[in-house]
Amino acid sequence: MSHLGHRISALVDGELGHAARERALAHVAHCDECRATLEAERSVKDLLAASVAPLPSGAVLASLQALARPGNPVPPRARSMPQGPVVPVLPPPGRAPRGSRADSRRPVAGGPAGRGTARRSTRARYAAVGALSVAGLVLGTAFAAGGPRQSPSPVVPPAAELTVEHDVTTSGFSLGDPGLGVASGLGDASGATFPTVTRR
Amino acid sequence: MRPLLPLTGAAAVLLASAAVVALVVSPPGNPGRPADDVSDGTGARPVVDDQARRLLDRAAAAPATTPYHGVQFVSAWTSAGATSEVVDVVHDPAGGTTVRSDGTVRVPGRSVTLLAAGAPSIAGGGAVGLLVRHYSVAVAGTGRVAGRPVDVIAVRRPGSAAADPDAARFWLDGASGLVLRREVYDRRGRTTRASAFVEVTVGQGAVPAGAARTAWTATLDRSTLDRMRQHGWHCPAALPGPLTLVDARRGGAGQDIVHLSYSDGIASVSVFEQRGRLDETGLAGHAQRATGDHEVWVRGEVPRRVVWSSGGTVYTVVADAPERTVDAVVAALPHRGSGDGPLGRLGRGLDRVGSWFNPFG
Repeated sequence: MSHLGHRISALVDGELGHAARERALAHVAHCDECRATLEAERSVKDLLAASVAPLPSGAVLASLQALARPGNPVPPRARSMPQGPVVPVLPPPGRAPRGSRADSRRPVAGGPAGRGTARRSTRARYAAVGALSVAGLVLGTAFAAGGPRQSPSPVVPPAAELTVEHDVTTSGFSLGDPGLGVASGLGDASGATFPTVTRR
Repeated sequence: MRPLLPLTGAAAVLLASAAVVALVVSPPGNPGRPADDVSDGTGARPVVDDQARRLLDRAAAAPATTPYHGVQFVSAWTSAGATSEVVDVVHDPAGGTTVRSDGTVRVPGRSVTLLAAGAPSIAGGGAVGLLVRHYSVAVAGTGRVAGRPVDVIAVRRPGSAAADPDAARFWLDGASGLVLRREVYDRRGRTTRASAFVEVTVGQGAVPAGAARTAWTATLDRSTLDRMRQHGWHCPAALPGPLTLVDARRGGAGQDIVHLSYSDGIASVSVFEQRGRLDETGLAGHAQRATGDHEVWVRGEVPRRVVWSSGGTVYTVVADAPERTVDAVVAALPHRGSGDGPLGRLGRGLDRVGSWFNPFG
């Protein structure tokens, strides 16, 4: 008898008829090669059965869920459930921590808890508008009260007079130094500066 | 549970609004340091020797009763170089002090007579009171100046170590008490100002009556300054140095210039304030210079004169003080824009609105 070949997979999957299954099992009992192939097939099947269907990451799930919320790039619209395998929304227990972005128990806008979030958002908007209105009112009033500035007239300080005033006033509360104080004032009074004779 | 989000959002918006208002209210540029921020940081109190105090009091009173005349050599050192001149000095208690220079190869001869102002309008205690408020004084010995016996008074910065240099020294005539020689030193002990009689005659000195130039007569007291501050005049009680406000006056052709005098007993700084904007075309001989983040016009070294305009007021500082002190004083005074822009208008308006609700305004 030739080897079982592709019938091993059918044997593992239970797809053979009763007579064919008996013949295959009888062959496996005497054929080491087909028995090894059969055991390998069964171990692969067990491995696949134990594995969990692959899930998108929490971030991807949250992004996908956010797409359906109002105000997000993809507006919500009524549509029928897609055909085909259903992607599980709830992760297996223990996989996603409570409160994580992948936690589908987090309320979404439109639900009972979502209405609370909407209220908070609305209140924040009202507060913002109110505060900006008050600030605008204050600044507007201040701007009006400030009025256009009278352009100050041009001024040239009377340098010589100010320097003499400095010297004569200072002499009233400094301990004698008429020479230095007045000599420096002399320069301004006559339009000449105190001479610089050497340089350090 | 009380929802936190709306409060947080509202608070954030209010804070943001407050920040906007604060930014608008706060004038651009340096508004000037508070008057209280003038401490030298040492915290040490001056130590005043009784004998030195008595000699200094005598020296301060001497010019009011003692005429004299002589020849004085005066010098000053700054970062720009040294200045020196020999002048004739004649002092008459009634007529004032005449100082005359024959000039040099660079400076023509000139003469001026000044009559010292009376008691300062703000700070009491006179020249010596001002000095001992800022410095320690002690008798350092005796000597001779222009052939006359003198007592030497050392003026020291409070808290300075024995090895630190003096701040100044006075040589006081033993017979009359007059100051015959005076030197000022910086913190490294270098002489920055010096004057000394090379010959002097005590008891003789005549100055024609009425020849002297006098200080502005309209003095301003503390309460007047308080009212002026409420109307936008900048009149700090102290300036960096630290320098104390000693005297305040008003004068000029239109009685529209305010003169605030500051001193520590050695250095002296005058701050003149005048409403208007600076006409820079009239500042011949001045050099434009950047001091910190603002532009000022500077002329001369002794005294140094610094001019600038800020918020509709022209400031002129005339200072016989260390350069560092002058720079700090200029930086401590207002340096705003002209106030012509929207922010300036907004700032004026907020000031005005604030005054409506200020019970002390």
